[in-house]
Amino acid sequence: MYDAVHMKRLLWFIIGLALGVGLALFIGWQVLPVQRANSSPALLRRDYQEEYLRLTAAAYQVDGDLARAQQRLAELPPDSLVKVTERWIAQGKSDAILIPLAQLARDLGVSTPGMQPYLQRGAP
Amino acid sequence: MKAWGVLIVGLILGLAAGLLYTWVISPPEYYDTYPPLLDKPYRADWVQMTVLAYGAEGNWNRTQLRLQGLPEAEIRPIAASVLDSAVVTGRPLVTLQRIAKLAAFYGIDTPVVQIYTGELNTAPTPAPITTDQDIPPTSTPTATAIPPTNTPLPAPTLTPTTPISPALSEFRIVSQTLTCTDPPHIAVSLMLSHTITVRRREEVEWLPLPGREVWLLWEDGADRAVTGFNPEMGLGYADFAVAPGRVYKLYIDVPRGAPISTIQVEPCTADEGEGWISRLLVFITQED
Repeated sequence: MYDAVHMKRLLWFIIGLALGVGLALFIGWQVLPVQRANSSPALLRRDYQEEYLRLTAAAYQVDGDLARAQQRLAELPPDSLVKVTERWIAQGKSDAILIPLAQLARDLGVSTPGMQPYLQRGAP
Repeated sequence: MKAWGVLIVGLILGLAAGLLYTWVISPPEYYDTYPPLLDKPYRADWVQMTVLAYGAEGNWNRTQLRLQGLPEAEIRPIAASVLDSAVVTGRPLVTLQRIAKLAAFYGIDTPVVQIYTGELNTAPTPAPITTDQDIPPTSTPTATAIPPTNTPLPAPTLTPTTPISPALSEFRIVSQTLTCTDPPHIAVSLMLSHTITVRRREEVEWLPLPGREVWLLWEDGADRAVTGFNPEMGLGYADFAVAPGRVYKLYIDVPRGAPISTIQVEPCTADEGEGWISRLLVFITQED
């Protein structure tokens, strides 16, 4: 008799616990997720990542801070700069976009043959 | 304890454990996000890069898209700070004007913004133009050093700049005040001679000229200042810290052609005391 009462209470406790955990997961991940704005550039959508690259190159044109540009690029997947620049060269993007990217790549020591015309056109 | 009491205790414990897990141990990560969801330092960096990129590219629509969804309260201080540092590091005038335009759009109304958006071009009262008092060189942001490489700045292959003011005749020097200071400095005050008619009589008044570039070139370097960053000295005022003994060539607007003045920083005479001769040069121009 005593064991049956305890078992029943334990069952209710487990049901309560399960309901509580389930409710908390719903609240914590869906309704009120903590720090919504906590992503890094690597988690940006692909088009925004590419925009981030463009911005890094354009900002470098103005501030000339290579170390800062390198820090910014480190937030993206490796070789993003070269891969995106090469792809955009193949797509025939404008000089205004490609020259800053090629110059940044060159200053980081990673220029490719495809970037050479843009480096020449961007030379002062 | 009754059954419902046990259920409530379980529920509360489960809720607490679950929230600890979802909020502390394993908060959600977002993929394929967009800039407003970036962590705060990354958001600030995104805004900073966007402001700099607008300075370089001048693409207004793209800039607005890049800043879409970001709070103006975050954009405002960053835009102001980017403009200040761009001025201090001697970016080309067109870059400064663009950044100032963007800063003004976000409601920044500092003197720097007014100068580069051209709002200070018609200052109502002329500033004092000559003084015998010692003028200390200001550390920021009038005299600016040019970074050695990686910038389009080194003279004489400078980026063409857009003059803020209407066409003016050549500047001519109208006064020079010498003082003995250590360290020495060279200061200039640019004025516009303006003729007005008061009760059928023509009177000439001098208006300060803010937002004009003044260049100082020497054998192996250059420095640039923009007038108007030291309003207490007058909106046409700019100054440079200079090195003793060196010969400087002074240019206004563009560092090309013949300098408007060549100045050597000489030691003071024994009567004047120890130190070097600092100069305040007042230049005047008039509308063509």
